[in-house]
Amino acid sequence: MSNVSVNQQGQMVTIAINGRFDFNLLQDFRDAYANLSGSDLKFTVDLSATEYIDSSALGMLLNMKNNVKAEDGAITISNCQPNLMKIFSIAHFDKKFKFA
Amino acid sequence: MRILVVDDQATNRAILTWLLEEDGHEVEEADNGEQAVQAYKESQFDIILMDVIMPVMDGLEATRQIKALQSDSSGYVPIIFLTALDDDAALSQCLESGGDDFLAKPYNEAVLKAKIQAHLRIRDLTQQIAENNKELRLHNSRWQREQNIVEHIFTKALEHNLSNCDSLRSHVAPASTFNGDLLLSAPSPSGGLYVFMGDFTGHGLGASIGTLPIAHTFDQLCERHLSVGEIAFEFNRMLTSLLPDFMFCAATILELNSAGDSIQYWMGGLPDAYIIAADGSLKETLVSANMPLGVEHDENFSKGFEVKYLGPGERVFFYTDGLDEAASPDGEFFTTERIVENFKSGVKDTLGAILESLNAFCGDAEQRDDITLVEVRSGPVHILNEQGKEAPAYDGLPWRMECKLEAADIKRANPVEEMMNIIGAQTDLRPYRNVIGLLLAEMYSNALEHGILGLSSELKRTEDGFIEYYQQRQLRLEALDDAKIHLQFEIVQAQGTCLRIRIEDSGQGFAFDKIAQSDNDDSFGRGIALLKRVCNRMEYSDGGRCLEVDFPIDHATSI
Repeated sequence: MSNVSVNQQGQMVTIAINGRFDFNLLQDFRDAYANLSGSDLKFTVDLSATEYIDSSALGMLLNMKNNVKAEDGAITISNCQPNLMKIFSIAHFDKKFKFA
Repeated sequence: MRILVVDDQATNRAILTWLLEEDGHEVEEADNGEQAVQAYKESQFDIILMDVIMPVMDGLEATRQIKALQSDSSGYVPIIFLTALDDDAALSQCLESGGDDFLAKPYNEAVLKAKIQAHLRIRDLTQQIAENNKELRLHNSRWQREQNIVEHIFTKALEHNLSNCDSLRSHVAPASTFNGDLLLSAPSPSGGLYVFMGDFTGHGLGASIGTLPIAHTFDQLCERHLSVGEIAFEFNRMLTSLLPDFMFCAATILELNSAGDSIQYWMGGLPDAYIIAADGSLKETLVSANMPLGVEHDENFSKGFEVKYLGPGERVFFYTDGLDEAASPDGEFFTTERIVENFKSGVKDTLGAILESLNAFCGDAEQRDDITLVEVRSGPVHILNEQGKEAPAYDGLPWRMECKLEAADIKRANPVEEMMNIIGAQTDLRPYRNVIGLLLAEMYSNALEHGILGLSSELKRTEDGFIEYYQQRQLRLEALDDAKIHLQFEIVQAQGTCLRIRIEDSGQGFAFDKIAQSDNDDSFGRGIALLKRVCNRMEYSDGGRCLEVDFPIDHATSI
């Protein structure tokens, strides 16, 4: 089953996506970042357990970036599998997000 | 001990025999040189006491013949001359004939016994040395044989290298037969290039052993198209469990994409790498951010990697510390400064320039550590096969597949995934599976959402609209009772081999010319942009109800 989990430690927020990252996660993903307290939050989206992304996931990530008013590269996408990395780089996402 | 007494005088022989037997030796007698040689051939002696002047054959000739018969296998038998002669010339003749010592007649009994003891000790030592030598030769030949076997294995194991790729240049100089440095390269399934450079602790056979499992696994990991960080993770796990604690492997792992305009890299414990600008000057220094492989446990290991873009003519240069620590005849190090000096405008062949200054610096000083230099160039990756031709393109059968989905099929959870299970199983498509999956998902959702369900991308302009869009999608899909989506997949020859995908839907059509126009930061309109970037051709028809794309599956032209 796909799901979204959030782990906040002070300013560090890690959102992990398990399984397929597509429009079915829309609400869960938005809830993960929209209702957090604290300022100057540093976001990391952990894709180590993500099997699949589609363009709606790209849209969701951009929504997130706009919503939290993050500068280019301020949100980190971590543990991205190369097949997904390819999709991100086709979409030029490597200019908007930091990959680690 | 067995002693041969050679004398033509029976009295002399009798006295010597009596003296020696008293001391517990076993004595045999010979009347003259010829008999002595015969006795020597027939039996083993530990020492020979030899008279000089005898009938038939004198002692000098007998000594020459006996010494000529002595070989390593029969061992060393000392010959002591007992002689009444006392002039220097006669004595030196005795020694020249091969005698080991002499004693003047009439001899003193104590001196005779002392000499015999001394020569027996020498004989023991000589035998000991001969045996040791024999053992050494045995070990040596065994080591030689084993070295040959190991060398063969290493040669075979390290054949995993692409010698035929313009993107990669290297210089590999081991300090001894076995290299503790390891350079591997392999094609990536998407047409790019993987390079692994490792430096195991130490050098020689010990350091070299660790290279085997790495070389063995590298191709498999590349075939799985893992990220450089994951390859590092796999190697680290293997080496941590395999190597003794004091051994590890500093490494740089790099993947050049097939267009050759970006690299992903992971560096652990090796000296800085450099991006060299097209004119030869230094553009950027890449610094190792990780521990070497074989040190950290899984839970502490970071799979993180970095991405850099390469412009035309740019190169990535990296090396093992055998280079900066190469020593001159005075013991001075080559140092990073001397390497960096070569990164200057006008130097076209950076690798060559560095090698030249290295050779000038080191002169004839002995190389103490393995040295590896690597240069990866930007620009499209072409990996030639053995015959020097481009890797063969599609060599499978031409085939075609059709899929007609009705409303009930469209309502299924993931029709695209089900189709991909069939398509992705085709061997020739497997390397592109992920991109084709994405492509198909985008085509399908456009047909479904815009065509059949009549949803507008405009909704997605705001974050709330984005959510509403997908809520609407859900509602309309549930209410759907009559709709068709028709998919066709076909292998075609059009600008190389392509997978042609055609999708037709029974919807109202949509303004396909509008949909592609969106801002880079907008959260919609991305799907079409993705398609455009990966396909050779993309054509709408029938008012947006039909879309046909050609996706190249030729290695040379793939993304």
